Amino acid sequence: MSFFEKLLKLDARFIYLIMLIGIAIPLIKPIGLPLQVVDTTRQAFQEVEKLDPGAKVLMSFDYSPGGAAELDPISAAMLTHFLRKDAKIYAVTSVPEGTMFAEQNLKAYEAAGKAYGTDYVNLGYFAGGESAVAALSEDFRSVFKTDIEGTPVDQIPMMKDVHDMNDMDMVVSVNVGPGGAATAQVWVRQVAVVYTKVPVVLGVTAVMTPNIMPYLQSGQIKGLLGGLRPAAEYEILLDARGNAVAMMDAQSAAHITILGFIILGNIAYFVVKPKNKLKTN
Amino acid sequence: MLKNVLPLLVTFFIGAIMIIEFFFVAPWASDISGLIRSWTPIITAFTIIVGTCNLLMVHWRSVSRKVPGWFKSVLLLVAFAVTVVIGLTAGQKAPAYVFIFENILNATGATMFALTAFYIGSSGFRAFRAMNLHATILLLSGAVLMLGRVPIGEYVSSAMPNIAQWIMDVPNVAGQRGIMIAMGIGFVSQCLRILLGYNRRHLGAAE
Repeated sequence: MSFFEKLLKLDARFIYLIMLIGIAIPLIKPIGLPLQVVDTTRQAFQEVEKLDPGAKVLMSFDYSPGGAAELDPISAAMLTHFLRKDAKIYAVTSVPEGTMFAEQNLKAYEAAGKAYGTDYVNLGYFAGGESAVAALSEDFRSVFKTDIEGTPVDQIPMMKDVHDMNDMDMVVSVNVGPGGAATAQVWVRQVAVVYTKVPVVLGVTAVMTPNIMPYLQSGQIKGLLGGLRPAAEYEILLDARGNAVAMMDAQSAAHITILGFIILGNIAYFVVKPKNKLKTN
Repeated sequence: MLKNVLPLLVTFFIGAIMIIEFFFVAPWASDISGLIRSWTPIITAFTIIVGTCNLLMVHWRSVSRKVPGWFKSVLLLVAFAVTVVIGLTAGQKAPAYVFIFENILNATGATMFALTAFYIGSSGFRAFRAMNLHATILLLSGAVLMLGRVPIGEYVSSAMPNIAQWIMDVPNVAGQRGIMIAMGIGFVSQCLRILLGYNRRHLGAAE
């Protein structure tokens, strides 16, 4: 058996081991590769820049732990920006675990001395996916009677002037995609298309980005951050390098390792293929 | 009669109101459709309760009958009970609840998601072959996108991020739009079939 034939029958565990080493090295010792900011990230950033101080932002943390590695840095970067713009945050989620991600990310507001109920509020989980998004857009109180601490909505100062989606200055959904929740497309269909004066910005996983890109080009959504790289670019635009920038080196290593395997697999395949043909003849 | 016709009439009535509300200015239809939409979170919350009861019954049965792997069901039942008790008694901000979320749920969820990178590496090595023209185009565009989406791609060529963005903006959007329009047409046709009673699978019919 030749070297390439052996290579084609390589045990998957060797591949996993090389992947592990390839990803672990830059995580332990970051290289700090420079990053170019692309237009789509700049567009989302500029949309937030347009907000006036005290703007009302509905932020939906529509992700579970599976998508958190990619999406939590997007939430963190955007919340840093909202904090600088002195925006008020109305946190909701269509995923049960999303409540905890909202809580964790809103600690940035708490740390900055912002007051709960006046500057930010966590309204928690809403069940019902697309219909619930439509319902809350028409009337917040039809879906949310209390916040996550059980305080009636009417007793929360920042909810006084909020009745429907027209009262918001921006809607952000950081979204993991299908799985019983309100998907990114739901926010387009029920908010972006209906409440055209309210800009919608979406944060999605890299794998979902191709599906959402047409909505950005059509102008239905005003910003799109797809995956870890835009989160890192957003941190650069904010001049607040955080987790996303640190993780980009590891992602570079993972992509290069996978590409290396694809090239190696193809070389082995094309070396072995003619030999197999000869044997068959 | 009640079992077959009534659900169809309810489906048709509610669907018709939603369509009227969307396409015409009819305050009465808006009122009714708004009311129906506000029921959805309540109905969905009940389905979560039903789903949870079903999950507990399935795993309780596994434990009581000692089916192979029954100890995993014990783990699920214990984890469920602990999380629910802490969540209901101490609240979601309690340190114990936050500990469970951050150190068990978050860690295991992220691990499951991260495993895909290893499977992609392995399957890329074994199956991603430039066997014909279509596969080669797919392979090359995939490679450019993978390089263009990470900083190291800029070392290969400074044009790499822009080429990757062009692939996303032009060929990708063209294909996605085609798929979305086709899906939309299919969705309308399927909805009409359900509203008119031609498709009764949601009522338990075979077809």
